[in-house]
Amino acid sequence: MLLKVENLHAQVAEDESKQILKGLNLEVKPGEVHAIMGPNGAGKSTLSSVLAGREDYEVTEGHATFDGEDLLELDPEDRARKGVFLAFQYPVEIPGVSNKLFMQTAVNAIREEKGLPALDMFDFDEYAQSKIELLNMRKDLLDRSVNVGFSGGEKKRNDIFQMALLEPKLCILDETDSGLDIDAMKVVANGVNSLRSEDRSFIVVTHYQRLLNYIKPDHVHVLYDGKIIKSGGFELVHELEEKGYDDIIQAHNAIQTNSK
Amino acid sequence: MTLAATPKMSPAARQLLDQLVAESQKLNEQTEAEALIEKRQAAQEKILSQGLPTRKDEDWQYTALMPLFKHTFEVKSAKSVTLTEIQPFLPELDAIRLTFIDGVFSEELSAGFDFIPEALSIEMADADAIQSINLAEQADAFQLMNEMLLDQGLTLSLEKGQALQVPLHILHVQTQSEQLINLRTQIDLAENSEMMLIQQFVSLDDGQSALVNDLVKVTVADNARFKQIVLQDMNADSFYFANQFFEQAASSVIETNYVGLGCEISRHQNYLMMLGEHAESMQNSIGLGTGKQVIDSRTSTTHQAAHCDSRQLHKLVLDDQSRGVFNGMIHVVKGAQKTDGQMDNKNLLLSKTAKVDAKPQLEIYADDVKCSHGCASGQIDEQQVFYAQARGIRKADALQLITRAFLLEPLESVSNLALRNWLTEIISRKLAKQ
Repeated sequence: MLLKVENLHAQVAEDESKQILKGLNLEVKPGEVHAIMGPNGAGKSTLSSVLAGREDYEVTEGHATFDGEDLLELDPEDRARKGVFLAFQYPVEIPGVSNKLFMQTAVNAIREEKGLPALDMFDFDEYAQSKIELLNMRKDLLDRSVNVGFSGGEKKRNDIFQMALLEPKLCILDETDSGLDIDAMKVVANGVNSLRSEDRSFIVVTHYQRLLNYIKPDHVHVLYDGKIIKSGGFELVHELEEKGYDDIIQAHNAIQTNSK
Repeated sequence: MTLAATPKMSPAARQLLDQLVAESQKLNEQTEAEALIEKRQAAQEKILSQGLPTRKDEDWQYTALMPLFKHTFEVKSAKSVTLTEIQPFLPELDAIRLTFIDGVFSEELSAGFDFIPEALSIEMADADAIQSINLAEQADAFQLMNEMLLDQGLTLSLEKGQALQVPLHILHVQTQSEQLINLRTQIDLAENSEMMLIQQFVSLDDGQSALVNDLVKVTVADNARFKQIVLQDMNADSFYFANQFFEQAASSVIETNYVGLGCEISRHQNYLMMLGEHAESMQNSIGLGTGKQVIDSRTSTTHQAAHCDSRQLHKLVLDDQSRGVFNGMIHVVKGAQKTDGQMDNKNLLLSKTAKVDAKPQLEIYADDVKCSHGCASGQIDEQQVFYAQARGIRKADALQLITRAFLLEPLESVSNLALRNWLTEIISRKLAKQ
């Protein structure tokens, strides 16, 4: 098992009234692609944030192990170094820091973790160029400041580029498809598909099915009110597409009421 | 002397002023040139009647001078210093280097004389005899102090149509405790000439407090280009006060960058007059404060002629209990139409006990101008730090990466790459030491 999440409860840090995850379970094996879908406010982004280690949220109950290690004990940078990658819903701008310097620092941090020697400027350039070609990115990408002056689509493509450079074991895409036009969506999907491998897993968090049509996940989960209320295969995506979330939510609520 | 007319000052301030007046008298006794003596005496009288600044003076409200008043500064003869000792301070670039130890020129520590063209004249003598600097009626205490202690001056003039092929690098090394270093420099660029000037202030050792009082006048004629870097990196016990007066004629360009890293209290003030049409100016500054440092960066820019552009970017990063001050004024006179003036000040506070006072001001008396000022002070963006962490970069490294990028932005205008890299390295070293 690559990732095992058990009975995860999380709230907004220092605010007990804002309980968001309420007993979430999830298991991801190497090479699997999982989609997590759900209506707004279900807790999708909170799950991504908690797994990546964002301090805005506090885990109050439950466990998460990554490669057998307690994930929740680790600092965000150590999670990244061990192979967890979060593609942000809103990638952050860092004025004055070039993509090149940013990603060379990041790649070398991860190489350090793996016991590999650091890449110098020239080796990094060569490595980065290969990924730029693989993903069909703009050639001047490396020289620009991190996400500064990028369109929404460019920012997300830059995150996918970073993912390609860092070669993580688990890629979490937090609503990467929101706000993307069809061309940008294809670039993102193409990026994900070209990075798929036997030992790399994906959690694709999304509100819409569109991206999933290109990525074709192995497992699909419906997240509602802080819990996964239904899991299935790719066919679940089509079911949601046709009927929306309401049927599944109503069925779930009915079971909840009956069992009380 | 009419001491009775002296305004209210703290006993410590009084003591320092008396000490400095005595230094001025001592200089007079050794001087024969009547004109110079008269100049000093006029300044003495004026400074005695207006006193040293207190926090009640609007221009000194945020720059408390108490730590300065604890000292007794004296003009002392220069110590002997070896080339090996100054080597670590030198950039690796071709330059005409003029080295001054404790304010006194050292020929043996200077270099690059082969680069000096016929068109450049470098003169060092009785400042009053070789310069034409007259203080304004409203000259402040440090300008008056500079005048009453006026002695040797440095005058640089570059002939019409000539460009210096390498930078002119003036290195000031401070070596003694309680040393008073009073500097006066005049720079004249004739029509269509070009010069890059680096002024670097360093201390040979830590713990020895000096007072540098620098007064510079730069005149840039039509179509001439003057570029300047001032790097102030003295020890944390010293004091630096600089007043730079710029006058630029039509279609000329002035670019000045100040980097303030050292000193217990430092204050760098530009007065820039745009006198001819289509002149362009850029004034940037970088300040990095740690411990209890006070870093004060100020500009006063006057658009006297129409169609001139002025640009400014001032950045301060303040840690520990340091204090930063920015004060910028853009003054557009009546008739200076089509003025384009922009002034930005951005400050980053790294600790809860650091503080910044910023005062950007515009005074506009023309009706067809484009002027703006922006000012923002804040802490490091947590989102940026988390983004870097999520890519495997350690929090401490992320903070440094972001801070460094923030601070270095004004240097993007430095087109000499070797020079920019040298400055970047010096600033990064101080950032890493925090």
